[in-house]
Amino acid sequence: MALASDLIGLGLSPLLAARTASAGVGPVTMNGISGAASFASSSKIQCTQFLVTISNGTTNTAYGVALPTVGTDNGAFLGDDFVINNASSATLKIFVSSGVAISVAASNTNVTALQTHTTLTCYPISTTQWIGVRGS
Amino acid sequence: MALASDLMGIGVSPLLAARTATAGTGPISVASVGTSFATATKIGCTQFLISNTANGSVALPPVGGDNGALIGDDFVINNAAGSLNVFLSTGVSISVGGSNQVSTTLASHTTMACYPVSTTQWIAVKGS
Repeated sequence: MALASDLIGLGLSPLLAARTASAGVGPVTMNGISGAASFASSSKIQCTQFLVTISNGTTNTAYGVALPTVGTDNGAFLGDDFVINNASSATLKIFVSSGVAISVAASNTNVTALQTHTTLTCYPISTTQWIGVRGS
Repeated sequence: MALASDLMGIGVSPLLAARTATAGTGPISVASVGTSFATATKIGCTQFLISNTANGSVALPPVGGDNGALIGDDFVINNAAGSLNVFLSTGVSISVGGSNQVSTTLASHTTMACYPVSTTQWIAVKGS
């Protein structure tokens, strides 16, 4: 289902395209923050940036990105589908904001790790809870 | 969001339906053949959901061009047979299973969701 720009080209309105394109508005590549240890210090995934690959990590340094907050004008919607790939050679940490948890890989946590060349699909199910499918 | 034909039946234009339906234009059932990209069963550029029923190989479409996949497209491949090879065209890799590879395999009764992020790179979530 492409990028929003592709769907706009087929006649969909910009707001609808941003919400229905599987990659959202992009960009599909972004950088994690080296040594990030919290939501605050991580690269922020935007609320319609539904497909991202992170490739700037180097071995022995964990990199961090943060899922968007849920709700309000600039937040993710319940049921949005975020796909995050770690194409770097370092572990990628994925943070959620304060008071929020993600149920994935047998725990309910505020940060989860993604090993090199693996991918996580995650969905907000409330303003304080995400669920995730971590691929092998 | 069904097949494109279902969306067209409720008023979505054909081009938009092909691109927004979860299963694309179909067909969903595929009997794969081959042992390389050249000989594998080619997945169509809007054939977004397939279930394989034979021991063989499938090939993900090239990205870009009039007949290619678009960046961010979502291809879901299920293997309902034995082992299935998934090939990519020359110079293209897929980030999955702990490495960046030119092809990958799908064990029996497992499923993988794949997304092109550039004309030479795919990413994938491989289920267990």
